[in-house]
Amino acid sequence: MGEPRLDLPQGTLDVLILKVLALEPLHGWAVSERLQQISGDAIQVGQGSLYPALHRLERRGWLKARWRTTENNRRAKYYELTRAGRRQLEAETEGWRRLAAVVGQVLDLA
Amino acid sequence: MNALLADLLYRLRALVRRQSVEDELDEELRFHLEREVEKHLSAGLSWDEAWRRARHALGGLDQAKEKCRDVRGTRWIEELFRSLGHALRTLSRSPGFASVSVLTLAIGIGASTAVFSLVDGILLKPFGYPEPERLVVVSQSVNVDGQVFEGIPVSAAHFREWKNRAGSLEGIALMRSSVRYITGTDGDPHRVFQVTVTPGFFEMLGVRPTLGRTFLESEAEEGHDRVLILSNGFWREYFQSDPDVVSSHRSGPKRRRFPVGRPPW
Repeated sequence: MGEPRLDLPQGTLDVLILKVLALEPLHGWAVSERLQQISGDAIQVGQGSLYPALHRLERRGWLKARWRTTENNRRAKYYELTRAGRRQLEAETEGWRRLAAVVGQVLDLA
Repeated sequence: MNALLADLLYRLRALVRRQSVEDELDEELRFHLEREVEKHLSAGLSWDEAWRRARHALGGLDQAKEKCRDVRGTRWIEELFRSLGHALRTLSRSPGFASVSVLTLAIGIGASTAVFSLVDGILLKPFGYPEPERLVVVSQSVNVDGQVFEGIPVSAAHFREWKNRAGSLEGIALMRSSVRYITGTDGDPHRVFQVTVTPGFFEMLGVRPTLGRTFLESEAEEGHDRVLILSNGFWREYFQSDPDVVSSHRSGPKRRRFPVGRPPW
């Protein structure tokens, strides 16, 4: 955990969750682990924000939740991306890239 | 699936199957906590330390649950029910106040309904005849030395004069309502309402009988058979809606009466 933690800007968590789940269906704990791994420990999502975000995405129809048995034979709620969720991910990725490019461009003016 | 529909179904489930949604939330967060503890344990931490860290990461189980409930979008309706429940409990604790409130509401609603029914029947609903605004009631009053007597019965001679000379009226007919007693098929006396009218009454109102015909001028002459038109209710109750009753001959104890038709009411 050498690198300093990042505070996620509003709304970024949603798109990150969608991205992680685009690879495979996961339960909540695995989502937070995966995020932490991929970001090299820079992103650590508090569970107080992870689960509300998962439920919000489910309510919007972008995620579908299903209770399944884990490899350790335990019951867990797995989330998977719906078709609408995939479209949303594409749209948000595109939006994020443009925003990042524009912000970067402005900041690089020195 | 349509996003709006998905949202609706999600909220509906959260409302209708509230307990199982709550149980699922509890199980989901508990599972997370356990996995977190396992992770710390396998990293070599003590049991106590592992639990402490896992709880800390979850940021308070109840707070996390509250936030999840917030995103369900059913809070307002749940709070509405909670408030209703609270109101009912408060009212049941003070029955006196409750009965006064209920009574006040009942009287208020009852009074408005009554007034509305009256206004609706008299002012808003049109009279059930074509061009009801052209219908007028003419009655006779007599002035004897400054004392006015209202509603004096109209004599046949007066009626004839009115009919011939009242140029502003297109038609004129006399009517008198009364109550009669008839003997039913069960042998018991039945009270019936009767209106005696002059020929031309139905034509003046602009209505036609649904069966048979209206009265003829000749039928008003002295010595002619008494004829009548049955109301729908009377026809149904006493003649079982028999269409052949029109023009059939019935004898009464005094005078013979022939039904000749039935008005549309």
